[in-house]
Amino acid sequence: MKKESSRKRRFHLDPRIKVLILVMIATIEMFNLNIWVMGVIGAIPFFLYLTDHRISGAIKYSIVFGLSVLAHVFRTDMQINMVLNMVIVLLGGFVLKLFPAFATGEYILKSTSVSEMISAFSAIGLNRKMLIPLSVMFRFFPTIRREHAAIHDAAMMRGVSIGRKRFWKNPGQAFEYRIVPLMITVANIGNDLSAAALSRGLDNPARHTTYTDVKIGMTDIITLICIVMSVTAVFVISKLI
Amino acid sequence: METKRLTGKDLITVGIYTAIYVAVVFVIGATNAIPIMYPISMVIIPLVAGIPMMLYYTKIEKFGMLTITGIIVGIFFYLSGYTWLCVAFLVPTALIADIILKVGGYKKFKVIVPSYMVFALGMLGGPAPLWFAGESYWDGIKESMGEQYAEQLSSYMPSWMLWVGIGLVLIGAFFGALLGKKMLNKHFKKAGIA
Repeated sequence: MKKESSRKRRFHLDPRIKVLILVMIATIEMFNLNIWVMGVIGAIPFFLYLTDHRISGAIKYSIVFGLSVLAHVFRTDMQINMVLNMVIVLLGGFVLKLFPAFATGEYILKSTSVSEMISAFSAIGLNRKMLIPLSVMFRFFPTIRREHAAIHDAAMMRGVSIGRKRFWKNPGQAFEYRIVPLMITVANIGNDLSAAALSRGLDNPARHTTYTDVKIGMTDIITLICIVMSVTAVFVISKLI
Repeated sequence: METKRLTGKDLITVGIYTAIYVAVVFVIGATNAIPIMYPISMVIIPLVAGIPMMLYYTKIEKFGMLTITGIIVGIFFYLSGYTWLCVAFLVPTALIADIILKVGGYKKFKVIVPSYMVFALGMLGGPAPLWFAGESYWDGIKESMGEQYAEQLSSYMPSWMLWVGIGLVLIGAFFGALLGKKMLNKHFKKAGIA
């Protein structure tokens, strides 16, 4: 089933290549870069979104990123309130530094099925001691967010929210009423999950077979070359200018 | 069946509590956009994370679980734009915390407290480049976050702040452990999950 759907998609990257791109972006961003290189790095998730047919995501991302590039370029020209200026430059800086990696990570999570991820990474010999916790963790982020939203709704109904007076009378307690139910639901969901995984033979020491076959194809290599070439080219040109 | 090796159930437990830990650290760490929050978050993060971690500690019975948590948290923060110093800090502290636990014995609160205090120190990997990466990192901050942020940050985070930071994290972690223990007795045991 998974195999067919991944074949039907016109543009499909191997999970290993996706993670490699993410590692590259995260590593490059650590260095002190000029705005041109940042721009080209920021463009990578935009194209990745497009290849995944997520037009609205691509547009939203490019607006946010484009605005922060503008804020960066014009930061000395802005003749506005000091505090406002600082907030804008700060937010822009955060977006410039962190958003490309965030967006790529989000793209990876949305476009890759867990089984695809697992077969790709067990193929390169990643230990299952790392693989299982990692995949459980990424499986749990949406769960934590959903449960938190549900608890938030329930708390709002009882009048426990930041806007209310009662919250500030006893903030510690209000906090406790958020995190404790969250922990309890998440722990219970976790127990269910491990029961389900065990009954499907997670602990079986034999080599696990998989429906999803993964291999690095032409698309992956071309994409990687394109990214490396464009980043290097922009870097060299921006140094020459 | 009791084995020394990590079973699938253990690994899933690692995944769940690592996810909660990362979520807590990430949400509170995001407040670092305001420079004054930098030192404050050093107390708040271990304090709040104490609650999930104490619950996690009740599930740890084997060597290696904390280390895996440390590796995963390190890789996660590396990939989300912090530096490699995160990995360099988190992995050794998690390993030492794991060793403390193995030597002292699992599920003993007296051992859990020092173990968690060491584990929490790994979070200093986030602001660590301020002290170790030198001028180029500060230039990078100036470039990307603006002069004002860099100046404010350097006034709140001078180099002696590393030692204060260690102290703050240790204090936060100590009270975090106590808080977590209190929550365990008050809620989680009643709910039957600890």
